[in-house]
Amino acid sequence: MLLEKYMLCDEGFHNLFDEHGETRGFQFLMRSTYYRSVRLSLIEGLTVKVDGKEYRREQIRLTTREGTFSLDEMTTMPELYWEFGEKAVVTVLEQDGLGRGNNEPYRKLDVTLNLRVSYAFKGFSASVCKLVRQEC
Amino acid sequence: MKTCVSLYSLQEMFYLGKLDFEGCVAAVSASGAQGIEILPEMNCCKQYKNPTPAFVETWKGWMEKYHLEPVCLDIFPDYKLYANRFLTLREQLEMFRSNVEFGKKLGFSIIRGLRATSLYFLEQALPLLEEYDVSMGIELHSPTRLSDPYFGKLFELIERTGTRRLGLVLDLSIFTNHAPGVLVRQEVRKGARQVVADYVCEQYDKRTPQDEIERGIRQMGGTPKDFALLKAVAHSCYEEPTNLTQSIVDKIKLVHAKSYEVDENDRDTCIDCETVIPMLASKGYTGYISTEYEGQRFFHDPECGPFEVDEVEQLNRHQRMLKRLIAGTNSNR
Repeated sequence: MLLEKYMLCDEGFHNLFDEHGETRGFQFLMRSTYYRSVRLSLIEGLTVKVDGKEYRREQIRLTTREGTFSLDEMTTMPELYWEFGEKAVVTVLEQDGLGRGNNEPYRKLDVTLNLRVSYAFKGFSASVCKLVRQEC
Repeated sequence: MKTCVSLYSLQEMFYLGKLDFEGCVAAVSASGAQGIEILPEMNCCKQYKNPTPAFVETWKGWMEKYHLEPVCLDIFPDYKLYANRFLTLREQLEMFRSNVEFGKKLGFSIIRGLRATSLYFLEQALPLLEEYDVSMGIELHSPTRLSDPYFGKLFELIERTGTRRLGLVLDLSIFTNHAPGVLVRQEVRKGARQVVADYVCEQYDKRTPQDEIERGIRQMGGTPKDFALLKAVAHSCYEEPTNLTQSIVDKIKLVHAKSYEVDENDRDTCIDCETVIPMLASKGYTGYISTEYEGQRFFHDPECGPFEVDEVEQLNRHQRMLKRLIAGTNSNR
């Protein structure tokens, strides 16, 4: 266990809308739980499930102070960091967002982060499942 | 011996933004330490490659203002930067040069490396350590023991080349004489049974071999959570302090005084500093001993709730303990 109770933030979990008010995805805030800032190219995986529904790798974007990138884009970015303690925005591009008409106040968010840490044979992995309040 | 603090000790406050970089430096100074150790990728990653002159000036200003000596820079061998290949030796040396140069600009004289650094790489890196006039210590940390083959070969390399640039960062986690209470309590919160926790602690103190403890737990009807507790405790080890030979002590560049918990009487509850520090002094160790408080991570399970351990208080207690132990030796004459 390392910083895991701080990984998924209580605020910032909501649908994402386009200029016409249509849902185009959802977002939440998370911190990395590894004890160094993370070189973006070390992010091997970031999996997201909401109430058990898992999204595809291609649907995921990560926004840090360095910008917004897909997981594939980050594989070539060793010089850019997701800073230690920095709350990054995870965006999941999904036409239906968090589900039309689903107004449950709390949703089960299940997130796994895998990092390719050179000195650790299996790398670094953190997995947290938490009920997070869905903002309007 | 002089005392130092690694900013690893204040990681939670820094992570949560309760202390900024300067705030951490100030807390180290207030603890009474004379030196500081940092993890650039924790504390100042954006400056790690090509620090700006303004950043270097600010850092030097802090060292003067807070009366601290930059002691050790913790670096990591990131040879798996890309998913599809390892870095070549030349790329690794370039990265290493950049890391060492950063340390040198900030005034650090010791580089802390990891056991994952190949001995072949270290030999290739020796001229670079000479060029920058710094030393490098490879960290020896539990459950790795003093008899570990990697360190045997490292010692051979040091003797064969006659270099004074390479050595050891000795982490006192190898002298864990009681199972860390904070760790055991965390495993109990996660579902291990108290009766098993008590049994494991008792057997750890008796230095019972792990497979025997495992058999004992099985006889108690061990659950997966009970065995998870044993696995967590088995990361600790107790090396006989007498195994610290003169030849090993002579190769120590820095001592990491790992700590999981210091009680209100300024005593470490599980690491045998009371024996080891006088022993280091008796063998002529005069370098820095650096507090590396790591107990906070045992309060990071969701079951623990919002409780935050007071890292600054733990750090202050640990520094008072180190100063008491050092004062009790004759090494400062």
